[in-house]
Amino acid sequence: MLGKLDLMLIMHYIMLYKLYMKRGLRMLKNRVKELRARYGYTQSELGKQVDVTRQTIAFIEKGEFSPSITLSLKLAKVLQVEVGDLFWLEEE
Amino acid sequence: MKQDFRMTYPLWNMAFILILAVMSVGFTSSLVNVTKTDSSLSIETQAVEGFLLFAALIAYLVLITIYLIALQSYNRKNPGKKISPFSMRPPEYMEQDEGMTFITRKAVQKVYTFITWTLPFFALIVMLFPIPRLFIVWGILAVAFGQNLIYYVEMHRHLKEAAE
Repeated sequence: MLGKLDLMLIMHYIMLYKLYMKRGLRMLKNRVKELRARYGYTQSELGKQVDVTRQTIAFIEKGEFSPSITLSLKLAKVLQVEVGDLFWLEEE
Repeated sequence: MKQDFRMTYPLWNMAFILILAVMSVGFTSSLVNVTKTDSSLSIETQAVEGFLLFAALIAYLVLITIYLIALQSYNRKNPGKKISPFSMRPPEYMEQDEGMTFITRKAVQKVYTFITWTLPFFALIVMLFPIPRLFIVWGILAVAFGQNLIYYVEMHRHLKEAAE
């Protein structure tokens, strides 16, 4: 059976995991929404141009999802910027 | 996305599970008497259990008919992403691109966490206490219901956020 210490350790790991997940989600920032608006694209139109759904564009804009390098490059190309100007780490 | 059959698939599962829960009252009741011979199988139940079993069977048949019609309609409208009712892979997975795959995985992770905790816990309860067969069946169905509910709520939350 699980002891008190085991339970405390489990709780500790869960808290660390949650903290890590939150940090991970907050780390990547982007200008997709701003640049999309500049070029007058809707989320669906931009999604079509880079072969993803409107929902995926929304997840990226909200910072909920960090896109792959391939998708980042495609987005940067369509929005006519360098990848580094489109996505950057929060600490920078 | 709301019209997507894959999105509403867990709701169908939940409806089937609820009917099974009612059906199980008829099947697992202590008042049910099953007699099996070489050539026939007769099931005798008391009035309430018999009624529940019969009503649940009818409801199940009605629901499965509606489900198959809805599925056929979806497959006709979406020839590129047809859903097979006999597929081993759960059809509710939405993996049309990396963003959707990401939220599907997040939802599946929550379900996995739920299953990881509930099944051993449930097994322990069943081992420790003399629980009637009906409650064991309900417990298993509750886990299956919870699994679908968690998946649906998680996916719905993400897609709602994306729509805002």
